[in-house]
Amino acid sequence: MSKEFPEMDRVRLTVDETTRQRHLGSINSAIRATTAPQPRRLRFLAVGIAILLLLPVIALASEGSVPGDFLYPVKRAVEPIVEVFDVDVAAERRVEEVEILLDRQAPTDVIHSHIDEAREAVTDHWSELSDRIDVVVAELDRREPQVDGPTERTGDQVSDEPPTRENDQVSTDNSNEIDSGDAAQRDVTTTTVGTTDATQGRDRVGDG
Amino acid sequence: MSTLALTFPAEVVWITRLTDTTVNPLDGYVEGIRNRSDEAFRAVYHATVDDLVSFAFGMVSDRRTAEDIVQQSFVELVKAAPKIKGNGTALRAWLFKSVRYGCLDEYRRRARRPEIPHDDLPETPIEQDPLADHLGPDLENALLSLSKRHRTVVLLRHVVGLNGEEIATVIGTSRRAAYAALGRAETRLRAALGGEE
Repeated sequence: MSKEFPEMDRVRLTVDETTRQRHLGSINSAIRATTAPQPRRLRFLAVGIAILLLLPVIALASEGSVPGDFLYPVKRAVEPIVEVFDVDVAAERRVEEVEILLDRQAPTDVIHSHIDEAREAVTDHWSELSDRIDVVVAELDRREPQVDGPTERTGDQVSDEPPTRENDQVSTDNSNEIDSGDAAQRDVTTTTVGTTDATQGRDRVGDG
Repeated sequence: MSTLALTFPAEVVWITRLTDTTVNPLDGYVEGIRNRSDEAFRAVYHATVDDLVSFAFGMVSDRRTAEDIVQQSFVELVKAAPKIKGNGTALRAWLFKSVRYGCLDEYRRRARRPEIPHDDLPETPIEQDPLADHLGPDLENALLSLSKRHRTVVLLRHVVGLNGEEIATVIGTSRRAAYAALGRAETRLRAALGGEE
């Protein structure tokens, strides 16, 4: 190896086969130990921590969602927790959702189904929210003939039966029970909602 | 010729002698080492183990200890494998560096070990492969007269055959400092062997 110090060649060793096998065995063990999958418990812990960190983010992201959105179920799931701090949150949110759906030109049947839900939510709450629903219903009726046509709405939302004189009569009776409010709006409301509006009309008695 | 060369500063002499740039046979295994491939480790082990054990043997003067140090270095390589950078030359330098640290640890262990009174030593001698059996007392004494640093560079150059760049990497210094250390170490070794300075 060395021309200048030929004596140094005497330091050179050759490792015997037994030692080589012993070394390779320990190297293989180290490789297996390093590349082995992590214990299951640690993985579960990591996933749990990740979920805990993600939950608030998802909950915040779901705040602006409306029916039909991907995160809307999350919003509804978190709502009971938020209601602990704000009892009116559900009612306000349902009305806001109806308004947003209207702005987005959502299908009429979807809006109507949600109007019912909103009316249920605003029961026992202040009348301002009911008034806002009424405004949505009025707006919906105003644009409805151009968007969906009366047949679809009547069939899906109001009743399985076609509109009859009887339905109209009930609606008119309800409108007569309302003490206050804009006359034109009342007419629109009763004509649109038909039979299902009867109960809601009664709910609103005394609000004004 | 050698007389003429020695009249130049050590750095100048070694710049011309140690800057050989050859393709390292370990280049093809570096990626496998990073991926902790059994085959790559086996190939690198067989390609380097004799050099590593010889170097460690020259450092610690005991064959069994030298083999254990090399084994531990490969285990360390398994752990550090994904972080290994560079080519085969860098990989080889990493291994020698690791073995050097192992030898320095062994020096520290020996320094801490209490002296055993001669009367308490066992009757049966411990099986060893002392350096003197290989080198003869003259060369062994010459090597032991060198500092640890000089001993390291002499062994890396004249037993293993590393070039100046690799020696610099192993001892953690600049190439210029490595050349200087090697020149001084050779001068002292030559003097210790009773040769010309």
